[in-house]
Amino acid sequence: MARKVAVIGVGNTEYTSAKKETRERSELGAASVRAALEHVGRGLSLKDIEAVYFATVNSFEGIQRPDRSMECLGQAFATPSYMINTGGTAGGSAFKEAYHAVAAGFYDVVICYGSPNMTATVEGQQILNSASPPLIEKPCGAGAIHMATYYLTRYMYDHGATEEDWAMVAAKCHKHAVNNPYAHIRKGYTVKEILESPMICYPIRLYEACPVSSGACCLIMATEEKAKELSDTPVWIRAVGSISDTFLVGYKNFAGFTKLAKLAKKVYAEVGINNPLKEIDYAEIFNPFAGFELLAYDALGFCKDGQAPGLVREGVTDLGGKLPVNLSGGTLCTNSGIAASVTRHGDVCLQLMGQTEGGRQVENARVGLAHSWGGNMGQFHTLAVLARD
Amino acid sequence: MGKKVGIVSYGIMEYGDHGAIRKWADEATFIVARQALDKVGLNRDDLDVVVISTMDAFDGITISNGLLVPAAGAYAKESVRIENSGIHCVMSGMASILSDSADIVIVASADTVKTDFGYVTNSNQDQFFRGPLGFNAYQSYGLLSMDYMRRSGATENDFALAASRNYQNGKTNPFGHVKKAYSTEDIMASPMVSWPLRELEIGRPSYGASAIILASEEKAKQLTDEPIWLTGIGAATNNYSGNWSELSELRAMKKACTKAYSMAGIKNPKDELDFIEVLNVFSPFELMAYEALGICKEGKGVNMLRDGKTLIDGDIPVNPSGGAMCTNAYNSGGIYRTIQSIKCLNNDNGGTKVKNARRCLLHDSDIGIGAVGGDSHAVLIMEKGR
Repeated sequence: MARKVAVIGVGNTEYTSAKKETRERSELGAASVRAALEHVGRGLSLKDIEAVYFATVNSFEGIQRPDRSMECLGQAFATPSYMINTGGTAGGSAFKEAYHAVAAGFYDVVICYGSPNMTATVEGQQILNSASPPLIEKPCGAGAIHMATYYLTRYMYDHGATEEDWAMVAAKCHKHAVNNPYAHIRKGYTVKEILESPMICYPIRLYEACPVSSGACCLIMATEEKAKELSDTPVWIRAVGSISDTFLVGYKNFAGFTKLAKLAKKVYAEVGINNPLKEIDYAEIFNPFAGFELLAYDALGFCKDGQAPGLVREGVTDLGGKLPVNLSGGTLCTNSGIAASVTRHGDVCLQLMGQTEGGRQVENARVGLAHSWGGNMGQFHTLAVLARD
Repeated sequence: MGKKVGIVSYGIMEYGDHGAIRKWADEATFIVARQALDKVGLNRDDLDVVVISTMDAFDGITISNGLLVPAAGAYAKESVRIENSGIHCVMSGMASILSDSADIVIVASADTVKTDFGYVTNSNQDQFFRGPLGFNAYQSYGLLSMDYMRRSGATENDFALAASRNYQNGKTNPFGHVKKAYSTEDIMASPMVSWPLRELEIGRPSYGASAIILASEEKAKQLTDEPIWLTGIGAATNNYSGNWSELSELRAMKKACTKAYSMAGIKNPKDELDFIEVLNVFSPFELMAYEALGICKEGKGVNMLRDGKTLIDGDIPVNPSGGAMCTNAYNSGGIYRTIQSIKCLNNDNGGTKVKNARRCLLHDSDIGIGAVGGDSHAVLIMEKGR
């Protein structure tokens, strides 16, 4: 029998621009781990951590295996450290690995964290380009934003979504990021400002694309017994899952996040969710480009295909709506490399614990959903369903 | 833990020099994954999870699992990639099964890309102290070996002898890379690479691919008559910085062993294990490992070697496959040696045989990319029957 596992602590550092970052990778990591330990309190220390699940993409750090030279993991006790690298979903994958290990009985208390510090890389897009299939896409210069535009233009073609729709969902994120002390871009851009911002890769405008941020996020996960001893607000992990698509782009038609839809079905079935809009109280969706959030609404079953822009216009996914999404500002406002996919889980946990700052707390949130996206052309998705008793 | 996990099948390519492989990483991965599935009559749809054991730097691209997971059958399925070592990936597969998240898991890995090894292993050092000094894996092997000479009295000749025993074991291994039984004299005559290590005392890079399939107890019994049970596993990671004795005492490996032994109920490893496979990228490491594994007292590893205790017909045979001296694959080495051990347990390894072997220990690590600090170790106990 799988053991029950809960998230009991969340730690964040301040987030800033990678170009302005002065903290070293280990410093960032140590700060987030310390913050998470302090969040748990009750005398929990590094000595009690039995394993470390670290999410990164080597090349974004400009070095190979950055985990090896980190000095903040409790390695003074030879704590096992697992380095998980699945691209943008590495945080979601590390979360899943940590969950499996604890549920299987290998460890009782573990941490899952990401602490990217992209100061060593001159241009991340050049590096990301090497993740593309080498014969066609790579020489074309494909980078992250190009991957996004395929999905968004197809969505506009299929469902008649407009540039204003993308701007509206972006504005919702920017509005809430202002009140999130852990967000990087806290400017509160309006729909008008977003639509006036430069077009960088059709149909994505500057304020609809994420920044390159620097900062770390750490989660502490524990078995039922330890969770009850260490926390009054344990957030139980009800289901986790990931899904993979083809590597080659020729097989894709970019008509929505079809693999995510498949994964959502599987994960919902595991926990008995039939009507996600009604049964989920809060969701964090990985949206490095604002429009992703809308494609995910469709795939996650929040609405019928193509009706996602309506949810935003009606405020269904805003604070006070039926299912608030990305009240942290999402990945759009803070994309700290691989930590961003850990952050999605952390922000959902804080909402469920009732500890979200800045007037963004969703009342009586009991069930949450965390998502991450990554790999070449969005090859991978992960999902986690989290819940309070 | 009431449930059990077993290995039910494997796929393997013959390892060789870079020029001999002539495959892309996904092609090689596909070949071994297909082989493993076919052997037990499974098809892709039967897999629940795909785990890939590679490092981006040895695949030459970033997020290289993107290229590899579909080749191992992950389309529309769960997948993950862990970079520490093959046994870390086995542990991930076990966790998926033991947590009721999966029934059948494939772990696959390939080495096909030739890299500038000195450069790559310099880039995993910290960027402030060791990195700028040009420190790379070869120097780290040398420093650790030197330290071992100091504290154990081992000589350059001992290191050559340790290497030659591996070459001797590996020469008839049909899937291995180096199949030449170099003598101690040959080894002593090879060029010095990083004192006190000579060229033939360091595993040369090998290329090939390997895959194994793990299954829950119930599925394993349906799929094969001779599953290999995974009865103990442990992992640990060394501190990156510290004083020399801290860095050379293999604390992480000891911790990993303790965990695996306690899970498998092993009290006296020397008597209770039938053979051991150790990742010996540089030959002296094997002697240090004897001590960490608890098959001899501290500082006495070299005596085990001199007394022939670890010979194939000795008290506790080590590296019947020829170890990393003969086949040193940075991505797939752990899975390769898992398969070698299974073949040895099943007595169908075609090479050096161990009589009546029923239980063995397998060690894997990322020590190949740097030996003094930051290295992770994992230990797996495998048993036949029961």
